[in-house]
Amino acid sequence: MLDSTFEKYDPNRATLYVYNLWKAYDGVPALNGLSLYMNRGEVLGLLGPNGSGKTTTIKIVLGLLKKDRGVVNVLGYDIDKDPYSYKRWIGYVPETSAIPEYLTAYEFLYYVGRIRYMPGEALKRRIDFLLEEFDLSDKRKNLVTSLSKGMKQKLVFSSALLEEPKVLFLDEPFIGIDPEGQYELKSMLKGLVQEGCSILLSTHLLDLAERFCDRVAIISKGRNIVSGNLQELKDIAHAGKDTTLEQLFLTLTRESSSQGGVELEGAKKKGFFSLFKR
Amino acid sequence: MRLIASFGSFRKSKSTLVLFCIYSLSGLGILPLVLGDGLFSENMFIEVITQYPLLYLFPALFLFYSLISPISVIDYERDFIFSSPVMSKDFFVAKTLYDMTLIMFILFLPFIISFVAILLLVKLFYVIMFSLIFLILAISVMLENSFKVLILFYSRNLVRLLIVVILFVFCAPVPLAVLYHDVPTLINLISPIGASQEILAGLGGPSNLVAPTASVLAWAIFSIGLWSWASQFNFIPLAQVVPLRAAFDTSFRYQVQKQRLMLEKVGRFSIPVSFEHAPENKILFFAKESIVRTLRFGDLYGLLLTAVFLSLPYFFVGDSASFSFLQQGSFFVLLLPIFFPILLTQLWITEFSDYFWILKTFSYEIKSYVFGVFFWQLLFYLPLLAISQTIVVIIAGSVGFSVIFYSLLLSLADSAFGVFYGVWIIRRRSFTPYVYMMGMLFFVLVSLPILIPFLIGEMVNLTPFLEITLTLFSFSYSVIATVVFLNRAIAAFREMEL
Repeated sequence: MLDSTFEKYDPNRATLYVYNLWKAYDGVPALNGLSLYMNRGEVLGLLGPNGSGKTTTIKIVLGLLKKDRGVVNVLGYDIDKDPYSYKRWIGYVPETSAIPEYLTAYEFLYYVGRIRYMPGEALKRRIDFLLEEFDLSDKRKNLVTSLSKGMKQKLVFSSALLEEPKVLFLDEPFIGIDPEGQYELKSMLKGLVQEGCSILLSTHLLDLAERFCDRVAIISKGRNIVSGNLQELKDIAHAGKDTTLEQLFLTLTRESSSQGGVELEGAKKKGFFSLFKR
Repeated sequence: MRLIASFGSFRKSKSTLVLFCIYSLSGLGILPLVLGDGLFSENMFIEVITQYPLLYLFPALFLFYSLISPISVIDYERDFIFSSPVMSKDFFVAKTLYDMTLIMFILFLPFIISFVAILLLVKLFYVIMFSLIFLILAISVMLENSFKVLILFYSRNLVRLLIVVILFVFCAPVPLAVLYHDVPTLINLISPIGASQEILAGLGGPSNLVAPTASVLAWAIFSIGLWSWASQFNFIPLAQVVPLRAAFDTSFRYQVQKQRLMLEKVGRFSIPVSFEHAPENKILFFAKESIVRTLRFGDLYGLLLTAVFLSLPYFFVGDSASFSFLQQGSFFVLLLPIFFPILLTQLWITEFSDYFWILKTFSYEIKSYVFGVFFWQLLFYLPLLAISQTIVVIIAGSVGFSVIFYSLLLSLADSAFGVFYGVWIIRRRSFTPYVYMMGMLFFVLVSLPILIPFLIGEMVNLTPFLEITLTLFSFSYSVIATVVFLNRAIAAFREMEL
């Protein structure tokens, strides 16, 4: 394994620190000691084949999944010791945007804002601004179920940006959004990055990662193969200067897949009565 | 192919088969009750089968369906069958046969297994009776399918008017039967159900069988004619696409698809309620969100219908049974706090299960959310208790204070258990029939420590000391169960993985 993960790590600049992260689903390993970090004002691309552990990593960082082992630190908060405080400063766009279809576009944003403790008037102003920004103003009274896939995705983006986050977690965020919408979103995200926001972008779109990300971390079978900017990856892989990220990705992941995985003893399915156990 | 797909859920899980067997054999459970109550006399049996409003309800329901939606196809049928050279006529015939098979299977299986298997051996009378019931259902299905096609090609209002007229004629004897227990022969003859009843009544005596037989035959010929005519239309490009309705499929996938369809269909008719403003209090905030969800999915109608179904036996057999109105009313009132938390919990988890990521990602108000859902269940149940109790008071002429007290205790414990049970299902991420059955069983078990003292109090003359002791026991149990289940639900929610 090529491991240059923490060579340039600076704890004063890092907004995300993940070290030796392990996770298994019913005995099947999903993460095998993954490590990565992300700096303030940086876009980190999380790349990897299907089932490599990208979504699992993001879900553990967000507190949606429990890790088996490892350290996760977001904005200086150890999520084991303080699992809530950091959530105020994060935004999340999930891979499949399941949003309450019985609410209107405005009501959904109001719901998210309220559970994030945003004060009434400020919340309303912010919702109006985001609906305008994402071209959804005329849909504010429409039920979510009546919106197109792209519109729903814009709405999820709006919810992630409600409180001007310091760290954004985007899991395949551009699927279903038309080219114009993608362009607008990318411009908006670049603006956020310039203001100091960090973005962890999980994607299969390698050309997007090549153009949009400051650094990438390529993971396979639940562990990171390599991380760095494009030039660093080329140096590590001894690739030529015209080598694309796609070629690097294929070379590195194929090398990795020839190595075996690690079997873990997994947790058993929890029965009804286990809920009464302390 | 549709039948294979519809019953495919049996292949998916063994527990589906168990649920199916329990359902099928439920008829056998009814039989001893019928025998035990002395209803097994021929006349009483005919009366129960033919006068009970349920018999009118199903044909009426099928006709009502044709009022609200045109002919529907399943998404894979649109993609694969309609892109091949299958004619719409062939599809229409297949769909009608499918509907008939499924409806008779779903509605009558318990009766077929128990009543028919036993009674067909007894008398030819029952062969005629069940044949007539099946014929009426076949007529209803053919009319339903015909109107669903015709509404696509002719004036919507005109077809709807025709459906309403036929619906009215079908059910004409119902109000008279309910109000006066005696329907004039002429009114009976214009309805196929009424005419069938006349045939059955005529079999035992010297009555004229020609007129009612002619009426039933006329209805059969009319429905076949209308159906043949409707089959000539090419409805393929106009058909409405719906998700597959699989028999005994309790999976999340199916439930969510069903809910989505309900939202699209019923949402626009729901009671207008906005969520653009909500109370500052977090518990009330989450309770209001749950109310908005319930109203927009049209669940309120479903819940009211359930209440009506639960109360129907009370109204129609109450005066002929051996229990007093008040006792029967008490039973009816006490059923609600057990049934409603089950229903509300299932609605909550199927409608909200996909959205827990929002709460887990952004909120640290898990406690408020759990209390909000609990409060929402009570908000839906308490007005229902008031209404049902008022009905009992009106009919029975006296108030059962102990029923009100015990049903409040039941609603607290069962609603809290409902929240806990919901979190458990979300943690499992599956809603198999096994989970469904176990949930129902646990709801009943949770209710027993409250139900048993109530029943003892009703059946035995207790000393004041024992009465107070039992009341205190039920009260303490209800409070402790509520606190324990809510606390465990909060803890389980925090541990939940998504």
